[in-house]
Amino acid sequence: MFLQLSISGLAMGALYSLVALGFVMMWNTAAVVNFAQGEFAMLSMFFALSAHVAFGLNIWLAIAIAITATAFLGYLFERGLVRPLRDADPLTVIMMTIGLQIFLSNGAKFVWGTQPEVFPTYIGGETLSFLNVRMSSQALAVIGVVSVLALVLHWLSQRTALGKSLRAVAQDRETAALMGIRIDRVVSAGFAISAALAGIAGVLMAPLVFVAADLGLPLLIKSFIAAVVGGFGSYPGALIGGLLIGVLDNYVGFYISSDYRDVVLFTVLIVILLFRPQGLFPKHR
Amino acid sequence: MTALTKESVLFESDLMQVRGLTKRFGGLTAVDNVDLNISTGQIHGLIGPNGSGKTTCINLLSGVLRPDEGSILLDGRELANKPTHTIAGAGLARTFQNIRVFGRMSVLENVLIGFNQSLGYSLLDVLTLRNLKAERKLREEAMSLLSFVGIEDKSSALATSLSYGEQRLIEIARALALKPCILLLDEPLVGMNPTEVDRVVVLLKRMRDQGLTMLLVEHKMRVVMSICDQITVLNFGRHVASGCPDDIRANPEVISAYLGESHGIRKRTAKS
Amino acid sequence: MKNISFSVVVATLILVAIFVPMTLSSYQLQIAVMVGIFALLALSLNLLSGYAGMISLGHAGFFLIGSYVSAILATRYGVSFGVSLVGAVAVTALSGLLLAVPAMKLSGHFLAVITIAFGLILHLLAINLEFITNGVSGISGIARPRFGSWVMSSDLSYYFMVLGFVATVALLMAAYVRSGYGRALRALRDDELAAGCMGVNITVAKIHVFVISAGIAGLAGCLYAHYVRYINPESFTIDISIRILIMVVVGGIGSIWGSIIGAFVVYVLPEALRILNDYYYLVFGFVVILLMMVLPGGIVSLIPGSSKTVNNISAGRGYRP
Repeated sequence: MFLQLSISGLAMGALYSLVALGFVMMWNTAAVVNFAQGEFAMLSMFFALSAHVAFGLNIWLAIAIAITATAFLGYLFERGLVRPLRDADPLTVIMMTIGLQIFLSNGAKFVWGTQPEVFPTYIGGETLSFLNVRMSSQALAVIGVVSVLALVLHWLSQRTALGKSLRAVAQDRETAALMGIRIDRVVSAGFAISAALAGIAGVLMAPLVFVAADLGLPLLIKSFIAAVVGGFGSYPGALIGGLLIGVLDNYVGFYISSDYRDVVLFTVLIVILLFRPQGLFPKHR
Repeated sequence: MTALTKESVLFESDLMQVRGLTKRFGGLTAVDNVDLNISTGQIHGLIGPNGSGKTTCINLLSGVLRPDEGSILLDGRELANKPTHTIAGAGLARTFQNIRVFGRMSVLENVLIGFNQSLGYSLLDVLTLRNLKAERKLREEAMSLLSFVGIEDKSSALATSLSYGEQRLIEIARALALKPCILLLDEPLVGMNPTEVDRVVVLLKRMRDQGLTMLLVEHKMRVVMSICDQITVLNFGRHVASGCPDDIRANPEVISAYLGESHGIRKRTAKS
Repeated sequence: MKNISFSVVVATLILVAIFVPMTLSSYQLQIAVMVGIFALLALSLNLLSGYAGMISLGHAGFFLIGSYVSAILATRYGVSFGVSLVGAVAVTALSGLLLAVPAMKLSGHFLAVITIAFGLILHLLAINLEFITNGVSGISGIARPRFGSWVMSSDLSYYFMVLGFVATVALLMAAYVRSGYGRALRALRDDELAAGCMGVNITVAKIHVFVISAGIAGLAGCLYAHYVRYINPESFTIDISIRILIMVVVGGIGSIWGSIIGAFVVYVLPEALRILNDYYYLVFGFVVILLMMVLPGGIVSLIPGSSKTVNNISAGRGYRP
């Protein structure tokens, strides 16, 4: 049972990690706390669903379109809303993202209705069984995809110009600009990637849950907590934080109580914040 | 006059005595067993090359950092390891190297904060509006401090709307509102043009004339040498020398600390 | 000149607040009462976030505590309104200490996370601790205030009571904010380190603001419980916390009038725009975004002569420590 909980917790947690990674990237590149990050994931699910069901496109094509559209949304977000507020008070920026969250989640309700939809499974269809663990191949695939993605992101960040520019901008914007880095382009790219990460999480999650317009906020809260617990601002922190939250959520739900699941989870969060506020894997300066 | 060695003679008029002040950050010892004697009514300079621990010292003395070892006596009262507001209440005020005015408050309100230690009214007085008279008096005092530093015409402006040099003056007025017995100034002349520098120097002299003791951390050597009564030199967190300006200027250890080992007394560059 | 136009606006608003409700329908009066209650919540959050600079996304938690304390005291112990009021305010104010503790060590988004957790935990406890709160069924039968033999059963009388509380709290808060205590909070907000070095006891200041802010929210909770006479956990979700924050920001953060105006606008607008109905939230979100892009100082910054930039966020220009 323990193993079952752990593995399925890792699957859910991997999704939180993805969303958290995007969240942290937006924070690192532009000091933006994006309350609407969960909505990007939610919208991606709907894009894919519409493309596949309403327009009859191949599922993989639909997924590709969804992720691209979400990335573009991230770009628009940065250009249209974040950049003009670059000198504004942090609270103003947070409020803007809160407004965006309300707008997007209700916009989705408006466009797609409030009925939860079913998303077709696209990675195998069977339930695999091993070592007393039963999991859908979709869920296992989530773990696989996120692991690969994490490695790819790490490679991107260390080896490509874009990745290095992103790190430079995150560390010291002014110097990066002086070094000839096109800050505007880099930040836009960063936001597009962040949104895309949420979008990927969305399509990965879609077959496992009922697709609904109100998925955004709960997803955001768990991912936000994951980022903070892992060490706000650090990518490995976000990754591990997400996994931890996913797994912890399962343990608490099973071993302690399903009703008090969230209560215990949040209490753990508070305890960690009080005694180790820099998180479990703080960013190195 | 010979330069004073580390084992300095204890003057009766020492307002602040620091002994064995030490602060470590991981493997780095930023301040290493530093002693300081600051006599009443003097401007005591604290100088040293970059990274010698001067700002850390100020942070330790003002309570922003807790020392790992050592004692800080102000007028006989131990201040080490006390919280910042207690130290401020004991009579130690300071300014900051990177200006830290209260950006969303007016100039006058910035100075008024300094009076919070001596408000003279309670919460109940506030709610029954019995504090208004006391407030008026405080505002008058704050205005006179602003005239003292020379920016009374900007009293209702937003603090961050003033120029860099003027914001430093706000910090000084604000610190004076604490009615301190000692004022620590952390590089108050950084980034100032010559006119602004002169203005502040005149101010510091006037403050000394009024009996205020000061500890001045500064890089502008000409100013330090001209207004400081005593100077302490630090290097790598350690005490190098203490004495009057002439002695410090001629002290070979001081010179080599600034210019490096290979430079003897003969090499005089614009750096010192 | 500026002062005169501001006073005129204020006088007009006061007259409107007193006389217009006498002409309103029952339904409209209900809205007026709710606006008053939310004005108290906005004022309370404004003190915490606007003046002391501590963003809270869990304020519904204090609202919840106040409401439930009143509800339980009134229904299970049959106390009078006065006792219910004092009880709600006292218990909620004490619970403010709960948040004050993490606030000592954390700030910024770390503290924000804790406030979110605070609100969510309380909501969940209200659902699950059935022996105290009756769970999702809620608590009903909360009596209207009774003074001697007279029961405050009419909406109009309740409205005037709420109006009285709002006016009193606003005035007291104005006095508080203009005093050395208020300055200490703002210094704490602008630069905690420098504030400490200038003699502000940070610990005491934080305790002050959390306890007072929570107490006012507790008052709002009591008034709410005795008005609607039935409460359940769903009135105290994170959506409510967010709504209160929006009221504060839309009205004008750091401004007492802003909180009151913000509460009015954010509560009344959906009713006024009922034609939009389903689209309401969509428009709402859009308006919030627009406001932040164009008028971050809130509605109050539009009024000429209001005590603006010094206390409020100067429009568009941020202060970065």
